[in-house]
Amino acid sequence: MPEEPVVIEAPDEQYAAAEQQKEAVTLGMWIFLATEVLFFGGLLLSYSAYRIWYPHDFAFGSRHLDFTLGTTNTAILLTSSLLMAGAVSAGRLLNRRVTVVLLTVTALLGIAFLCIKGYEWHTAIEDNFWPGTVWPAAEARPGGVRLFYTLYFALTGLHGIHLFIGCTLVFGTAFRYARARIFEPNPNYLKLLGLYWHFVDIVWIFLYPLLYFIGRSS
Amino acid sequence: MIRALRPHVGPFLGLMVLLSLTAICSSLPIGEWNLIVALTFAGMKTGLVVYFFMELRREGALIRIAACVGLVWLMIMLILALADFVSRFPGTLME
Repeated sequence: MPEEPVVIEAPDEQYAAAEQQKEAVTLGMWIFLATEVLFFGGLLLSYSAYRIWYPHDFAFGSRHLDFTLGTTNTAILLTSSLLMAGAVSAGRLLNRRVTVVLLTVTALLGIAFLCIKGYEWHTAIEDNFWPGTVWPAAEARPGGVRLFYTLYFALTGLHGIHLFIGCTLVFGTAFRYARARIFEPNPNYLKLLGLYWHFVDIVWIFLYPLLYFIGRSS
Repeated sequence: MIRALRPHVGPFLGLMVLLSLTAICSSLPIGEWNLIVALTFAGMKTGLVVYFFMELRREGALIRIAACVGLVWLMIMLILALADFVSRFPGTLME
């Protein structure tokens, strides 16, 4: 596999070498992502506990979600991760056009995901699954279905906020690179942006089976 | 464009194959194994993303350890908490 040429630049003054700076910022980002894992972890723990308590209600709630849309959204995010990884490589190759194009399409795929998610939310809210709304079927399914949908909105909402932040950063970066007089991307910045984007993708990789698959086979 | 994307196409194809398998296996009538199979595929997808897209294969030991601690902490929380739920309600873990 051909190795990409890496931009060699002087490190910031607190670092001995560019390599040290790269390792330091990468380590910092991974630690931040570990805290993000725990951020989502609390919700995942609630999800697991309530799924054990209310297996049938969770299956009922899950069957009301659109499996095709969930699968499509997973494919969209996986594709966006491919393009994001390509954008990081293109930045190292100092190819402005490819970097900007890949970043832009990455962010557009993120927006597409959010649009589909928004449509799913709209459908769920129309069916009175929004927590706190009066739902005629609630007497037949006390508690559990509402818990499932509360967790569904919380998990997908939190993930959506992360993705929205990611889209904003990626769009902003693409715009900045497109406008810059001289194209000299900071490889550390692009790498960290990629790490964040891939992390958001991984969160969805787990939410997809946890939310859409319950009781599908029965 | 091709030069920037080429190194990442292999892992991406792996991800799409795993996604197809995940989707297909979700409707197999294998009871509680559905959850285990789905989470196994999710773990494999995560492995591909972390190792290739997030470039963990190029990092040193320090960063690899840092990448693992999030998972380890999450597992400590889930295993200790769920050990209680699972043992108090035997047989209700999965449908």
